[in-house]
Amino acid sequence: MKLANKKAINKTKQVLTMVLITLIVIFNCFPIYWMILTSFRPETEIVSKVPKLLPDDNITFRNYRNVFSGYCGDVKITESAFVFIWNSLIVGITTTFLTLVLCSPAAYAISRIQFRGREAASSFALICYLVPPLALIVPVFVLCVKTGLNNSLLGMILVETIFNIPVCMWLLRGYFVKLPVEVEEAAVVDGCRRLQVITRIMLPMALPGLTVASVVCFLNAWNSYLFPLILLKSDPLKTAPVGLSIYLNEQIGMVWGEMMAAGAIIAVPVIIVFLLIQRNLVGGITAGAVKS
Amino acid sequence: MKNLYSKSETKIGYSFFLPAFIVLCIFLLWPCLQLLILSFTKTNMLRPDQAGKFIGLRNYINLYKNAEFWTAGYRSLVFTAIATVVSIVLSYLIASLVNFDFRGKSLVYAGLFLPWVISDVITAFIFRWSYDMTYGIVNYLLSETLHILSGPIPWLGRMDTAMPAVIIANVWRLMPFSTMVIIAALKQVPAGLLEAARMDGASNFRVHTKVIIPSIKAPLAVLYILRIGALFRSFDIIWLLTKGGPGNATNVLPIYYYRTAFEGMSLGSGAAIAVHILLFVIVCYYIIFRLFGKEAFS
Amino acid sequence: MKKGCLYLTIVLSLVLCLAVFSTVEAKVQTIEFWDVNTRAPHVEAFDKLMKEFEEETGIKVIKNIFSTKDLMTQVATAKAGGTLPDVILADFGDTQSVSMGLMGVAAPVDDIIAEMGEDYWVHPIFLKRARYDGKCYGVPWITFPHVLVYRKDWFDEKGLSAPQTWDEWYQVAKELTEDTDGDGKIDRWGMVCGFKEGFPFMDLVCSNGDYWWDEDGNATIGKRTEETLNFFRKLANDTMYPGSVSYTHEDTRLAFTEGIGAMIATSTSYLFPFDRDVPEWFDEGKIAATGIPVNVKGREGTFIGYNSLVAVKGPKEEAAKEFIKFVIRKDVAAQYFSKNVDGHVPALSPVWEDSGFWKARARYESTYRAALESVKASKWDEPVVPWSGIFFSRCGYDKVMDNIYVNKWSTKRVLNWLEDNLNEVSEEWD
Repeated sequence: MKLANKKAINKTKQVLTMVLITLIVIFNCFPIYWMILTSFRPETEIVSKVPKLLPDDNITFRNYRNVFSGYCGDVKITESAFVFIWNSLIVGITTTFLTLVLCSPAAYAISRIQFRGREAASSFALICYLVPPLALIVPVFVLCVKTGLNNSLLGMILVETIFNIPVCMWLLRGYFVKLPVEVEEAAVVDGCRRLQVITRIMLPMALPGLTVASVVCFLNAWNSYLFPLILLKSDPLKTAPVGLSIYLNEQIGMVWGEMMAAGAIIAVPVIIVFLLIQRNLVGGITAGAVKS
Repeated sequence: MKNLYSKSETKIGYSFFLPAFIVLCIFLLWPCLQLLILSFTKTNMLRPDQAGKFIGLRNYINLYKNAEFWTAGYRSLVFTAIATVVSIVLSYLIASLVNFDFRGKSLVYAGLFLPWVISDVITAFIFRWSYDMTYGIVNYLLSETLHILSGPIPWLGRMDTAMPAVIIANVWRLMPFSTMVIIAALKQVPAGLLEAARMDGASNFRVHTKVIIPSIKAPLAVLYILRIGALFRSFDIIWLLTKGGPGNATNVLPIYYYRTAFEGMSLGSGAAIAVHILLFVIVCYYIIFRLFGKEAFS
Repeated sequence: MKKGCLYLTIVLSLVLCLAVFSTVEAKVQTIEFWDVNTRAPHVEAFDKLMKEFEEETGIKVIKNIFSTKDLMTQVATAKAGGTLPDVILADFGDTQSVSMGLMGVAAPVDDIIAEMGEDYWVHPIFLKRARYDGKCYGVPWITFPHVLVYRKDWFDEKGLSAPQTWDEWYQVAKELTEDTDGDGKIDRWGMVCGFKEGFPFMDLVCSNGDYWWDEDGNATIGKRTEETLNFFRKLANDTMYPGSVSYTHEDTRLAFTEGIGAMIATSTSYLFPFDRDVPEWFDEGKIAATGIPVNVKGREGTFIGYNSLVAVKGPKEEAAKEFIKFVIRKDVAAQYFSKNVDGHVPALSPVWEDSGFWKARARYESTYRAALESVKASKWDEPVVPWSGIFFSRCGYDKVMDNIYVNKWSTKRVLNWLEDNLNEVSEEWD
């Protein structure tokens, strides 16, 4: 009797928990759902005082067709969204690669190697992360011009790399610290050279951490808005958030459909990447922690 | 371990750290230094004749005399504090809630973490539309469906609701990541410790405050510092949602900086504001570092 | 594993090379043009114009588009980095072209003005506001005078006529603010306006001849400003749709299209969204426009927004000026204004006499004529001071509106606040 009662209480508790979790998930996902739903609706349906929360038959691909061909209404106003996505991919992938190449050894150094100034070095990394990028617009821009890197994807890659290095360094540092020291020591006793230890043993072991770091880095580069806005001037070079922001521009006259389609186009690729690696991600994120 | 590589240790350490260090120095610290120098000059874009003229602390003195700087600073503090605490507390609650095995767990996780990948620009646009007085879904749900409000409210256009509305958008954007980190941290709390506490008859609340939180102190500290860093300098979402308005209700330091430096063309006094943003974040870092000790950061 | 790394490296270096090569530009003489107008008809008409210019002169124009609110940031960073374009389209009725002149960005264009003669522009205020210290820094091109757009059908229903003075304006707005479906909630408002850009307040300032400084930059905030503030407070509190506070200019148009408000004060380019969204309003005469009502007859000054072309100092200055002259040439301009954004009317007098232009604009002839009349009648004559941009970054019209309507500051407090900031800014300038 008592046991059954307890079971019942447990059962209700479980149901309540699940309901609560569902609510939270809905709160989290609703805005994205809403954006994607809206992007498939014809203009006349979007602006309505009684929002329709569920999808219905009235679906149009016009918004996407427009954005993918660079049209607004019947006029071509910009490049195709494919161009912007391609640019974003180049910037994102290269930035990720460069960042990892630069910061993995550094992260390894501040987490595993005993050298003088190690503490200072890791504080340095964090302080670099805390620098507000907004404040550096002008100096960084001037630096890019001096090096001839403005209005080029290469410059964009460089700038993104700079702002991602501290982030990834912190993430990887947290990862390297947790790897067992014994394996490394054993390998050294076996006569492996330090570099071999790293490439053969440490890197494969840190692979989940590297995955997370690269995802974070790619995300940051993909979503970045301020610096591409300042650095990339010509249309064919713009990255997705900046290139498509022409649809988010108020002056164009509130084209909500195209606006939401543009938003969805920026968001969906990263959502897919996210869903693919989501399982590894939770395992991968550790105390090292990162920028959102 | 310590003496294992002692001869080459330092050399390797430096050679590993140096490439990143040099790059950061050139492209991050050097611009920071320039910013600092700029803050001591009367650099206004409209006065090219006076560009770079050294005026000592004048920018800073003018700034301190300006009441708006102090209120903007105060607003920044409130915004950062509330958004940080709310996002981390909520994340902690959510993480504890989902920290057991159930069917569909990975789906729930995916749903919880999804906003993490959405950029600030898109967040701002989704929320601006949702808050709209006429077409906004928020007003529709609250007044038509749930009948909490008697009529629609211009969320972003009222002194009392603008800041909370902006904070909610930021929390929505930042929570998934905190949740992710806390979930990962909770997994590392030794099960034995929890068992022991429960055996002693500790209440749920006590288990959380006395056992779980102390044992994930380190990741929490790091999370706090990262959140404070991100929020105190956050610009995009607020700028796109309210432009610092209505009045000055959401005029936080980064917005104030942007208006001064780029709308007012006064890069010199703008730089002085930026220096304060940077200083504040570093001070916060130092305080948290002190509070939580070295364990959190090494 | 190793092979994989190798492939990855090769692919990435290829991508890198691509990125580098894509920045190498072909060696044709080019000039760069920065545009702030993102609307589709403009883009189309201007692309055509650029092609014609290339055919005629062999100079290729490369156009980059920015959002209006980013323009000055872009100019500032580009100036610091030395990557300025050659021609810039400066926006709005504020003195952006003068700012660019002060920054050392804009080249004086007095030669173009002299060549064309001052009568080439429909109103002297355009040139006046581009001038500082005897030099003219911008060539006015497109204008969009502000008008009061109203729902004629509702006005007719109630037997109201278009307001001419502030008193009439308030009364009409008050009468139209009502609960039409009888559920106890007001669902139709006299006014909708967008607080984010502060245009409606700018209209009041101009229509009251209320200028905040004189030619020497001394503050002249006084009785007229008080009137303006008080009138805005009254109008906003009693007749304005409360959602307006978080609205941009464009949101306002959307709300107007939805029938939330009976009047908006906006630029003539309202034709663009309205004719697209509700063409039947035009056909059925449900919508009409009148000049912005004035406080006291005789000192009216309709606010006239306009775009000027700015030639940037530098080696390509000559080509830039050539392009500007091409753009404002009668035939080219007439062709452009036949196809551009509806309601973006020419600031150039010859176009108004062009038959081809009128043929293309037959649908809006009456509104266009009204726009021209309101420009010509405007006595807007605000003195130009170099620091107005700095002042507005502190006390923009949007903030004034917020402080009155949202913060409920007393008129006296707003006046003091304006005056203090004005004095501070002008002192810091000297």
